[in-house]
Amino acid sequence: MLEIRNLHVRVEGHAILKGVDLTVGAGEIHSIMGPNGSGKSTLAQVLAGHEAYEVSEGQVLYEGKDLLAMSPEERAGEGVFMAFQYPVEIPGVRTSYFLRAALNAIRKYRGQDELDAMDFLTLLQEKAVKVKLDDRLLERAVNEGFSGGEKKRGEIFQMAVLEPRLAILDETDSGLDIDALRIVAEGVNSLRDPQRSMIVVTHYQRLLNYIVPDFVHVLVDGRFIRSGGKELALELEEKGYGWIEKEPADAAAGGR
Amino acid sequence: MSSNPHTTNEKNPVEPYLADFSTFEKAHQENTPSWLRPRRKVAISRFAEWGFPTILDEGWRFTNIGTLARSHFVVAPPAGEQGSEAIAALLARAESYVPGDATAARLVFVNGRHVPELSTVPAQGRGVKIGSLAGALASQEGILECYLSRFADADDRNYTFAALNTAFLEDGALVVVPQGVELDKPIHLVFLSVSATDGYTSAVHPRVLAVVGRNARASFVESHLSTRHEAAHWTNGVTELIAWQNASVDYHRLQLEDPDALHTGLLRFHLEADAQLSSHVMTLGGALVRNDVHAVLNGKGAHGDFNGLYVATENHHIDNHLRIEHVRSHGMSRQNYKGILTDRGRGVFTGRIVVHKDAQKTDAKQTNRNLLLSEEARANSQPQLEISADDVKCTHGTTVGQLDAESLFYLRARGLPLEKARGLLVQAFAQESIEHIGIASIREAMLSEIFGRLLARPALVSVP
Ligand SMILES: Nc1ncnc2c1ncn2[C@@H]1O[C@H](COP(=O)(O)OP(=O)(O)O)[C@@H](O)[C@H]1O
Ligand SMILES: [Mg+2]
Repeated sequence: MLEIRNLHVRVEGHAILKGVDLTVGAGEIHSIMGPNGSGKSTLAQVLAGHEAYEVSEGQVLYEGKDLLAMSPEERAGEGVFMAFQYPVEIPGVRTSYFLRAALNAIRKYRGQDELDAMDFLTLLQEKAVKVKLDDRLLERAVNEGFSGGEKKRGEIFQMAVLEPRLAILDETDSGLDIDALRIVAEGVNSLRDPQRSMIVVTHYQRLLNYIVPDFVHVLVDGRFIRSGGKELALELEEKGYGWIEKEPADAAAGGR
Repeated sequence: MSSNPHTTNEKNPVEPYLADFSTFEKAHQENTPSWLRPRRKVAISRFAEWGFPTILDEGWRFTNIGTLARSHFVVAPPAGEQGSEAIAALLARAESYVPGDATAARLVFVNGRHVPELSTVPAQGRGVKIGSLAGALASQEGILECYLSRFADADDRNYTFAALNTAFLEDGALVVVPQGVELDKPIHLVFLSVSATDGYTSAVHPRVLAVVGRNARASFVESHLSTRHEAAHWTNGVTELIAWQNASVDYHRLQLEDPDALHTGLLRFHLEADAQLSSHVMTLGGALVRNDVHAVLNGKGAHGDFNGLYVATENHHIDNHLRIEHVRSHGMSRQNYKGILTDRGRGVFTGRIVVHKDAQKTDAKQTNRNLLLSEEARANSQPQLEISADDVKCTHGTTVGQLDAESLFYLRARGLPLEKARGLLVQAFAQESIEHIGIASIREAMLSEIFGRLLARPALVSVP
């Protein structure tokens, strides 16, 4: 599904990612953990195609294709979705209108017919129920004046509507109280599918009580220094990142 | 544009207008009310003195109207037979702004003259008057002497084009809504201009006078449309609108003339106590446009909203010049103008808030936001505050910027192609201004007019 090889990324001249390797198979859930500033969002943004991030070395293959050569909209068309750590507020653009335009752009990219307004409305309502989103939000401008929790839930809702094949969730848990966290996790779990892979970026272990990953990777200072199964997250929770940073470097590994 | 036999480079550009005025005055000797003659004379002598402003004049620093000064614009003749197709097409566009309705008043003017066959004036009763100014002048309508040019002709150089309008004042609209009468349908004033000259430059000087009485309510739509002319053409309009105590007025000016049009317009609002005005000035057409809005909040507690949206493409130049005067206390004004500028288009905004010494508790706010869609587009924005009272709240804010990169990325990451994402953000920017318009058909028509113009521009896709 996804293969990241020796990825180096610079932002405004600073090296942020310093050789990242990761292999994600179909249907797998990988969790990326790490302290603030370690480069988690940078990785997510690069995979989604943000232009401010300059890839200085390395390769990313997505279903065998060169992901880095694609524009952000092509990636979306190919089934890549990134839930933003900080979803952008866009005044003047109604959420339902935006999502219909997005879904139809993706369908068009895939050579499918566009959905008409009625079918789209039905789909929207169905997905809103699925991720327990107040459907009044859909008539408001994209993320404008949404609470922190509403924004995060909105991202999961968009994911449910767009049905990606690779979803990257960037700290979708941060800033949520336990109830909101549970709702977001339920939304994510309901979208688990043998054909859908996910990369769940999180700072805290608690999300992983609800979304159980197949693999956990620890990113520190632009490199994965440790990878393992879901137990690794618990260990981290107990001992903190300091523990792992002191471990020998040869423990670092990418993916499986 | 074909060659122009009236080009006057060497002489004072005002002189040919003085000659035209003598001819005009003689021709109208019969049907001019005695009180109007001296007003026209004062006006022409003021225009003779002030002439065409230059960039050395305060208030015109960013707008060069050399194009106007270099030619002599004769009063446009009526449209001939051959114009009827063009008129029908323009009228159809105007109807997309305000759909034709047998029970709503619509006055249509072609090349400055009222055309009764194209107009609809249902019986209003209750003392409401809606009709052509020429008709009102001919029937010696008493209210004209009291109000016509009372506010729009000030001894102030900024009124030079208004003076020219008064000098050649001939036709336009008169609307009177008496005390307590609430009109529920908008009055549509449609000004069409079609080529009728043999290639010489021409002008129309349309005039609107509207008086809305105490506790009365009315809504106006003033549309300006034109076809491409053989030679340069100039619309020089003046609208005087008086709102008495607690009157409620919506005014919409839809300027969608052709891409060569020259347009100057003065909107002169006079608000008495507790009057509520909501003004919307949409400038989507014209090569060189100068909109003056001068509003005097003369009564306590008067409230004026002044919204504007301007779109300049190609090398078009649009100048919005506002002067909002608070004379009495507890007045409130909101200026909210937005510009979308692409290609080599240029937007100029000047918003002056004047607070007189008795206007305590004034609450005046001004914002001007400009969106640049190309490298060469430009915007100038100048807030001006002139405050003589001490207990007031006045704020202003200006932005000039490009589309937000993070918003663009967000939309693209969800699958929208760059061009679509840009279009959506531009639409959102326009929407924030348009959504304040209370008439749904205008909102829809303006959005589609804007997109008709912008989508053809390469800049919508090329600049990140
Ligand atoms: N757009 C940017 N401009 C400058 N520095 C950035 C930018 N984005 C991220 N960085 C820097 O890169 C480092 C990694 O940031 P980030 O990927 O957001 O970390 P994380 O998501 O793990 O907290 C930080 O030091 C941050 O300051
Ligand atoms: Mg982050």
